[in-house]
Amino acid sequence: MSHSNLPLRLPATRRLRVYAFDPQASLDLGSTRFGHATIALTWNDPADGLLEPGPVNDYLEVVDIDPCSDKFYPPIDLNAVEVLGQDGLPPSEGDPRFHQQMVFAVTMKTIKLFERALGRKVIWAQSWNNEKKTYQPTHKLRIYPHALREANAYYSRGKRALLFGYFQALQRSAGASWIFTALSHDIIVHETTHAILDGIHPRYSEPTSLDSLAFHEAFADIAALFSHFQLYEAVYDYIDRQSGQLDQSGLLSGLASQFAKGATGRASLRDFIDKSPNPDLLEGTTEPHDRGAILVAAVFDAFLSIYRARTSDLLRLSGIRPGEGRSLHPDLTARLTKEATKSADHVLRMCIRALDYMPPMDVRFGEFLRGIITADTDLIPDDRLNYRLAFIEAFRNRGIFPDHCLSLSPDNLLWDEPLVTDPDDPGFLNTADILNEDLNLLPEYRRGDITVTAENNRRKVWYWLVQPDLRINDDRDSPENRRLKQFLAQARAAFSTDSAEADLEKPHAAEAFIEREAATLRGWGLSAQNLTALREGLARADSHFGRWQVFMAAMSAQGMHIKRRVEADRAWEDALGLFFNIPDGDRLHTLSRDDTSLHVEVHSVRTTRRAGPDGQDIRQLVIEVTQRRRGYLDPDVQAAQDRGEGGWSEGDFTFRGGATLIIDLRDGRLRYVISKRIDDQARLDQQRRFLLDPHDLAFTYNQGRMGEPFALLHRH
Amino acid sequence: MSVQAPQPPAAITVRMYRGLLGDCFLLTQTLPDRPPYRALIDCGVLQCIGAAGSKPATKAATVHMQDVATSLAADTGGVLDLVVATHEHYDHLSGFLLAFDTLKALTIKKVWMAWTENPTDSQANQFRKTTDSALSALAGAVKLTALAGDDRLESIRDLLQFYGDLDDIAGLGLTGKAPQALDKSPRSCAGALDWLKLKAPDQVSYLEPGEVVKFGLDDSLTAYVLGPPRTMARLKQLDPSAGAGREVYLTKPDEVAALQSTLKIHQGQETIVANDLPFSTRFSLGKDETAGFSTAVLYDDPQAKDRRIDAEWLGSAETLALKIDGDVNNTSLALAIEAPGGDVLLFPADAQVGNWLSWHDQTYPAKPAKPDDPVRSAPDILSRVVFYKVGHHASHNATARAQGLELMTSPHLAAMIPVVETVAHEQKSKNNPAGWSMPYPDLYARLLAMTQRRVVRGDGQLADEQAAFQDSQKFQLSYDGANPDDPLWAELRLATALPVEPAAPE
Repeated sequence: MSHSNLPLRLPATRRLRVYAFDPQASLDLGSTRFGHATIALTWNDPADGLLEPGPVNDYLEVVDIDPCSDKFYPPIDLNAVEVLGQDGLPPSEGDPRFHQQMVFAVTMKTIKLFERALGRKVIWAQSWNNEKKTYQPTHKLRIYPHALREANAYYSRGKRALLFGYFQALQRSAGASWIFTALSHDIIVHETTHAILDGIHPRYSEPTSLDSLAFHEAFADIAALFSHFQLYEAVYDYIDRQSGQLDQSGLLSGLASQFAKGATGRASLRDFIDKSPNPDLLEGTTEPHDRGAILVAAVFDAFLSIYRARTSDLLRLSGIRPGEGRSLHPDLTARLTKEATKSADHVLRMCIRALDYMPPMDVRFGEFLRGIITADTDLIPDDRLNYRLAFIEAFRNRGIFPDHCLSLSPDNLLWDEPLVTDPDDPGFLNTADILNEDLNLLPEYRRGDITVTAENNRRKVWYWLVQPDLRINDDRDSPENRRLKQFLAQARAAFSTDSAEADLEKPHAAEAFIEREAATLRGWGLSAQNLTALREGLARADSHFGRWQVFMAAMSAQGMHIKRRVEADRAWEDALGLFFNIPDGDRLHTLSRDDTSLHVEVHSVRTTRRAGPDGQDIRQLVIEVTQRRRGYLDPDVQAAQDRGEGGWSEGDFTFRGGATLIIDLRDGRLRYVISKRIDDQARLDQQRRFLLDPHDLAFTYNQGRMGEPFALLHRH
Repeated sequence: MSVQAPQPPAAITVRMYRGLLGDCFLLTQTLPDRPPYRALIDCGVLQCIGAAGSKPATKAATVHMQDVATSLAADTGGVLDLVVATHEHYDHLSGFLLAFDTLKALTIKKVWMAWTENPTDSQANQFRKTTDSALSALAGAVKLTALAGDDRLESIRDLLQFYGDLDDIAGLGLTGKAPQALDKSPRSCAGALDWLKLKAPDQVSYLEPGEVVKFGLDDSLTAYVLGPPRTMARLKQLDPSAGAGREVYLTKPDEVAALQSTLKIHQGQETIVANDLPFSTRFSLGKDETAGFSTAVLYDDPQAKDRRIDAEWLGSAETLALKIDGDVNNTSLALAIEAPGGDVLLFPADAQVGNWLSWHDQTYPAKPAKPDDPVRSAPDILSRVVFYKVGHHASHNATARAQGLELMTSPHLAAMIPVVETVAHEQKSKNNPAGWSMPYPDLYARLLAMTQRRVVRGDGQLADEQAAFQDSQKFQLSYDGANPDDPLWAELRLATALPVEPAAPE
């Protein structure tokens, strides 16, 4: 039969069954119709890579080892016909292979949700390799579905893994003897979101203020909460029963109900409908989850306003007045469900997009609001449906205000754009040269390439940012200056490809570059003595960045025919809120690591491509740059150390400053610099007071536990 | 009263043994022409945890305990009218372990403990059963050699030292424990409590919150029992801020059960039953049967050692150990002792916030014998406090502010802190790199202000303390004259009114 050789078209999706909420909701009579859901993952996305038993693909590796039971659970093969033929294994608490399937499916779904809103691929947080003195990419996030015996699940930064616990419930209302957090849709989304957020903003896990840890929790809850609204049947049923209203507490507005019943006896872990918000609420709340809950409630409130605005016409057309409790026509319920789903999708996407528009560290809730408003304004200039006003009002009602904002009008909440637009002005922040020459901005589709490209770009931007502004003559566009610029770009390309470790067998690309360009350097005035010093410095440096610093010192050394434009460097320092050199006036010696060099670190460079509803196409480069300063609990010690007195000593804590830069890739224009100054004394005082107050987060003293900040937050 | 006046014959002295990070207080009441009445409130010092070489001051203090016991026995003539054992922690009871041979010879006429130690109280038994089985499981975990060296294990070991000998703790909560003998040294704090119960049979009182107890010479002293509270909500509150996140603080039996079954599996006990495992055996393999599975290869990859999770469950065990530590502190027997004339001495032991707050939940007595009988309130009692034994060595969470210290408005207020700062700072661990913050600076500053610097410390500067008490109209400060450079004890003497004649029996 010849047609047996005809290739068959690959399926579009791989369908996997999961519990829609958790095993208990699937048994409740009220919710049993929508207790199970099916997640459809793209069949052939090259970014996902090969799907192997585990499941393992290029994003995730599910490793089912259970140290508490001293057992290993063999992995599921999602390509087995028994799985393919029936949309995955049927939901089951008793078969660990179903647990593997569900935790994989929900995590993948969450990843794809973020990628769609962010306009790029998700990258996991890097890990610091102390031997090689560099960050290393994390290719695959590991998932342990049965890691612990406790009512807890967390994202472990050190292990680059999600750890899910299970426990035996004493509370009979939980409806099962064993409760598995790996079977709770909400908990999986929540933990995955922690991991994704950590990949975007690695410094957000540091407890610098009441808001910083609370934000991590709140954002993870926001993602979990709004993912409920993708469950069409559940939303339909809910709207039907509530006659079109969404503002009653219930399955949709609460989180992790089985877990909560098993662990605490409450109906849900957290419920986010607050009936009587007040503007003093945030001020008086100091527990991180409680504080986070206020932020989530604000976002949920914005969602309710948007839903009401989108559905008021439908209800009027049908002659329904809100709250009269009439039963709805099924067609109307279906339309309302669509609007609810769409509103939730828009709200969640607005929140995710805001992540790129936020400072790299020490985040505050008010800055999240500014991020939401600015990101949305960039993509959708015309706010016809008043989404942004809905957010502003919901935040205002709960007392979430940004610092230094004149008013809460949408214009005032936008981040500031750079003031100087004349390229010849010494205060102009020039970003064109980094874009034109060295970055690899082509989208990659294989995950291995994505992480390599991202790391390569990161190093180049890092070198570029810290390099002094060098010119041979005053005309910015002269052939000499253009040649120098090109030379530096080549240098960045060469230096950035070096592996980090000191490998004596083969010369570094950096050293090879210097040998190749020795004549050029001599032409620019590098003395033989300085060239020798440069060679020795390169051989001695213990990291790729150290080599670049040595090179830059040589380029701006005495005797070179290259001028350093100090005013331009100052302008950058001023905009970024950090310092490339110890500032004048004998201050801020606490910036130096060993009293010689300052450390400025670019820890993230990302490109995004987003499409708006009216065909808008936004392409941006987002760069996060930070600097550390030694902080001391005693203000007098701080002052002395800042002045460089009393001998160098390890700080009691790390204080960070820095900025997020957003560059428009279409024209190379620097759009925003969202900075937090390293010399902000008030912010330093705030962080010190926060760390000294054991009433709020006693574990901040426990530096030993900082390795698992999320574990502890979840345990208490 | 002028300074030159002769010493009033009626007085109470509070003696604090110095040089101990631990409580050891001797209360003496004197009346004209009467033998004195002596009460010992706790007798303990912090265990020397870890390598003694890194903690010279801690080590020295445990040796010092023997001198304290000898002095105690000599100065009391070997007779204690009352011993108050506030709670089951080493720094309050270890004298009975470290200096047992000296203290076993004492005559102890009466013993007070909190209701939580009452073996016939079902609430107390339930609480202790959870605590004991948790301690026993934790002691078992510490002994697992496969995990030796893990930071969390070390931290658990440190916390367990508050209860005594590891082997003894491992046996806690087990049935069929051998009855204790009076001449055999206890090895754990639970053992010390049992020994005291045995020492004064039929003379042990388990005190209830709200109880009012007469004692002392001619029953002229009144003890108001402030805590520990009976309400679980108070008992579990360790830190000032309350909220959803704090609700799960009290150690729960299911956490303990989880640890027990984990332990059973790791010790390879034969009593593992289906109920100990989450999945049927047909879905699971042993650790040695994983050959050929790709995910097992990932797990065993030597390059990814740091991603393994073999000891991760110790995190919850450590949290459990911390919770128990706080729970036991909150079972502190907190007493306000009223002298004739109305002055009050406050001994809260190591009560944490929930215990403090609960003082305001009841009247004293809680249920007056007759409806019209007068009752006292906590604010009334606190307003008459002239002496405060600072709770938990002046740590950050064991002195309530608005509902506690700020209500002690007497202009005569004085305080004693059983603390040795160098020892506290030696307690460095990965979790507390700077050691313990005792006294906690904010609290200490407030104490100095409220007492006009009348604070006596276990490691105080004698000249400073004497200067501060120079103008005190209530107290006379004196020290152990036998060791003028580093006195063994400090004493505050409070003149009291003569007791009112007890009413003739009807």
